[in-house]
Amino acid sequence: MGRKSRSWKIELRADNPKRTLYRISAILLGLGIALIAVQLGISEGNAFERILKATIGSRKGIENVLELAAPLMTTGLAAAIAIKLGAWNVGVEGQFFMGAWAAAGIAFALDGLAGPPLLILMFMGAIGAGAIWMLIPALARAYLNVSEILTTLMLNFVAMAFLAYWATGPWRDPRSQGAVLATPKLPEQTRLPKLTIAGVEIGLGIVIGLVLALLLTAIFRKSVLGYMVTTVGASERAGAYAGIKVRRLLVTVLLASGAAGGLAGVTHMTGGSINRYSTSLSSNTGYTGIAVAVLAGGSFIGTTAMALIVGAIIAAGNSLRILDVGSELGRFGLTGFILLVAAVGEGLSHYRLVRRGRKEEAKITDSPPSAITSTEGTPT
Amino acid sequence: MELELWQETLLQAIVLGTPLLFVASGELLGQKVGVFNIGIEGVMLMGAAAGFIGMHESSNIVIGILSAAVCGALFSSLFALATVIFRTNQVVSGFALWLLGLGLSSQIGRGYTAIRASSPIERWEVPVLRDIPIFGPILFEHLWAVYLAFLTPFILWFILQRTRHGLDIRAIGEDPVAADTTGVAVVTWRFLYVSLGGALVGLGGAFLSLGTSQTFTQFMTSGLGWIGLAIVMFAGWQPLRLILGAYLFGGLRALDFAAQSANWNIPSEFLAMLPFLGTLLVLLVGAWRFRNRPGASAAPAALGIAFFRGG
Repeated sequence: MGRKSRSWKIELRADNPKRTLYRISAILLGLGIALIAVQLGISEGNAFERILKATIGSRKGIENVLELAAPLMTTGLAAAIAIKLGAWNVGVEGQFFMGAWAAAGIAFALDGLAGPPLLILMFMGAIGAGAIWMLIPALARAYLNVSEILTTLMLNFVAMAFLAYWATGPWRDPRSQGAVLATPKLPEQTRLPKLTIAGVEIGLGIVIGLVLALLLTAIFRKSVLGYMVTTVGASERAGAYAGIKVRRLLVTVLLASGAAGGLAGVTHMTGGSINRYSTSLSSNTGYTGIAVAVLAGGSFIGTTAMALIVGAIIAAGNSLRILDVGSELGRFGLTGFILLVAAVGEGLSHYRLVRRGRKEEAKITDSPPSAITSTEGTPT
Repeated sequence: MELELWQETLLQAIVLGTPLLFVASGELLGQKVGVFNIGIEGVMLMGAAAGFIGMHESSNIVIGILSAAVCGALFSSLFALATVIFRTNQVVSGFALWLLGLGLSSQIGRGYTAIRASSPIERWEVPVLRDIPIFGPILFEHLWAVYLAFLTPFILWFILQRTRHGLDIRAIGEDPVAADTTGVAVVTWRFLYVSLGGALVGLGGAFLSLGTSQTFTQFMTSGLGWIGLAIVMFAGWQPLRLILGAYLFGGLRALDFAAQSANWNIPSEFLAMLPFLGTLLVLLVGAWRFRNRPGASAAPAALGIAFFRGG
């Protein structure tokens, strides 16, 4: 250190204004680092070219990204709803599968029905199933202060085993083989139509995700419920003083989060390319959705945008498979890396350079703490 | 010697509980200094992969075990860097660590998936003790790492409860500001113990890839890390109770095995749910006991909270 730099020092502070700026810069930086690492890591070929072609560089690439992003939008929104209250719905994956289960059951039972009424019933069933799957964690969190992180997660494993039971037992497709357990295809009339805009095929999943995001934004900005959530999300105690029934609100919001998870399941099953109740329906879509919501800072509109970016990351990872890069590296490794980098970037905003000797006045900042940036503990 | 079904089930409970014991011990160590790492499933996977690769490349089990521990520690220190140094939210960073572990372990273990371990963890039959009728074969004919796992909580207990330094560790988890005032290096110890805990978690992973299955498969931990988190809570943050918790959950997993051997007419999927439903039940019952006493939880008071000097 030179003599001049001695008048500066790094100071640590508990509040971190401009955290969004820090986070976004970190995400961009992380993506850059990942790209360079991948290019350096592969022995031959041009990774950039491949990635570009598999994502935004071709019509097929764009369609691919949209298809990967569609389920992430809704699962991301499901996670974002809980984050608004400082809660973590790690159970989106389970709600996703339970939603698909309920919808598939309805479709098999009432396959004589025409498409639209059957689809409406399936969607209602899935939303209900997702909410019910959240009931125990929600009540336990609100009334017993049990960490919803662990309870929702445990139910994911239960849901996976439940799926395996139905797909190997009662609903078994005699033709399904190997590691993927699947039921027969759903009735043809339950397949959601696809839109074509400017020559690009867009699944209805994207549309549902966008509409849900707008709807949630409107609810949370304009309604009393939204006001209550914002208040309690900023400070539970302030909410209680304002006369808000915090526990009931927590249960409501968590159930809504679970319902969105169920919606994601049925949307992906009827709107995606799989169209059956199967273990391959989700490639940890629920978990990736949480990452999407966190990266978006819990904003609903931001979540839809971030779903597209993460969809592109996954597509990029898949495109490198031929170069001896596993698809898991893109799907989990890169997502996790970006998430960690974003968190560290945001953490950097705790530090600042200050000139020594000049006393900083204590400032009271009123930026609302959210679950993501909070350095507070979680209930255990 | 042929074992009865119940003996075999108990033996399996111990074997299946062993990785949980490693993982829960590692997590406990981190939580005692106030850091809540939900990403240990990812650390465990990294340990499983690194352990297997280390063993395979050197044909030496000791090097395999060491690579798992070192990799677990390094990988966790990434988490410690984020949460302890940069004060990021522990849930977010733990979640990121988990995803990163899922992806990285699959990638580095790609070339090793269809190989059998050439020098796995060996069985060590304890002389004399193994001849105890009925219980000898259940307790004393295990892989040597099983005994090591059993000892770990005792070592933790001794350090935490019987040494001066243990008092410091607990103080960091309970009241870091006070600990800091008395001259305890809160940030340094937090960083160190989170990493050291990661080494134990890595061993838990290596026990799978080098001990029980003797091969590395993608995502082979299948939720064990998460159960480890629950065991820490089940144990009420007391090291010795980890043993009970781990073997109990091992027993729930062993039931699946018992049912298959005995041809019980229960779909194995429902038995596979048991450890997870058991965890859920344990969490609910545990919370119910404390429902009218807020703040009476045995968790370290500063668990999950970043430390800032003077506030």
